[in-house]
Amino acid sequence: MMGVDILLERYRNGDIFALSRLITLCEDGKYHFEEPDVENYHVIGVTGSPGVGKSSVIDRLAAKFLNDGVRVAVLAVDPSGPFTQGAFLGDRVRMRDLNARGVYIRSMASRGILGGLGPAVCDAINLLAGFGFTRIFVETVGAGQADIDVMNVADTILLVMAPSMGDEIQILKAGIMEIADVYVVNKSDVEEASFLRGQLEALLMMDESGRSRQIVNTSCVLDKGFEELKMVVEKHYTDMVSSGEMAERRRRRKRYFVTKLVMKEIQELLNSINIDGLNFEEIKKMLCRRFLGSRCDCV
Amino acid sequence: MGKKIRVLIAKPGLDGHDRGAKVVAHALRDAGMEVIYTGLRQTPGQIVNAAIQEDVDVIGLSILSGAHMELCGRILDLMKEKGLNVPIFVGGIIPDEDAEKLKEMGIAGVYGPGTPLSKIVEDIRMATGERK
Repeated sequence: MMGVDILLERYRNGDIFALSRLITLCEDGKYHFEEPDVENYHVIGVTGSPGVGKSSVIDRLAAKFLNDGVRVAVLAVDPSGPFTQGAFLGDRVRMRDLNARGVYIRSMASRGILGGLGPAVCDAINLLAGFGFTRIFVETVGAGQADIDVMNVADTILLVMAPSMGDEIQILKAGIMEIADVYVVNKSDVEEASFLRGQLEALLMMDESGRSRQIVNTSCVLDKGFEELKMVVEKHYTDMVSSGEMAERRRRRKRYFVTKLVMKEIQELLNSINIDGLNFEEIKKMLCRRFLGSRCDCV
Repeated sequence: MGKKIRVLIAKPGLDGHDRGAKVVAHALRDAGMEVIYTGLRQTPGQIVNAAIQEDVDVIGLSILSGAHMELCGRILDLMKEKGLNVPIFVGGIIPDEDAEKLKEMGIAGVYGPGTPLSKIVEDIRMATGERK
């Protein structure tokens, strides 16, 4: 195994092997990569239920960005299994043309992490941004109502929806429905899509938060709606930069990243402590001593 | 968490029969590996690119079209050109004499119909154990 220093140097020289291997090291918890010193990149989160068309939407939308000459990367998360921790990562299947056009696609397994993302998504975003990619898609696992971690990671959040998956009661539920910046009504070639669109419009009419949220109809089979979607996504980016919201979202990502790292360390320390016969306060003190070492002043 | 075995399962060329590729992918998943499936009709260039981006430990090719000599040769050439060094396993309808030739070219294993899935799993574990 090549040393990290050599990998980092090769990475800085634009070596795609080194980029890929560094992402693997981060996934295996052997390395972490902090925010790079670049600003002009846009992290686009794409979430939604299984089968609504997240990967296909990324395929069509990324193609529009490529036409503008920007560098695109995709991080696509699929679930790891609870029994063997194996994973079937199938998002590339929908993104066949992107590969040929120079898009960097990396499939990631969730590796037991709940919330819709995997263990090294933030590291990978930082690595990709530092490598020079300026549009970075993050595709979550097929998401349920409470899988909302992507809100802490992405600058713009697309919630992809498809018709005939529930009535307006589902639209009113808290959670994932609330985190979207853009609602993508995919499979809009299907007749029932107009009902979904109507329900979403009613939802946004009731919204008094002042957030600017958009609805865009798309159809992957007809390749329709993606020019509009691209413009909406780009406008969301420029609006956020000028309003200062972007800085807020970057802070949110850093906080999420750091929190996950610290929590993981604490979890591992906690697992290493024999808690038999100890009460909560005693466990906390022991944990603190392990965490801080000689700097700990617990008595 | 330690190192996970990552496998790329790809179908090169003009061949729409992907049942075998999916069965093998499923078995490797159940053996605890992370399997990246590319889908049908990939060019050798796309397969090698995907293997580099995904940092896989092994490439599995499913070929039932009869073009295995041509496709494997092209993929091996491209891997050499780009400096990618991972074992390749091939499954499909491959005549015995071709299987021997493929192994001489550098293919790590060739699996015909009826191969037990456990054999493929074991071979991949062996091959990746040696690499790391």
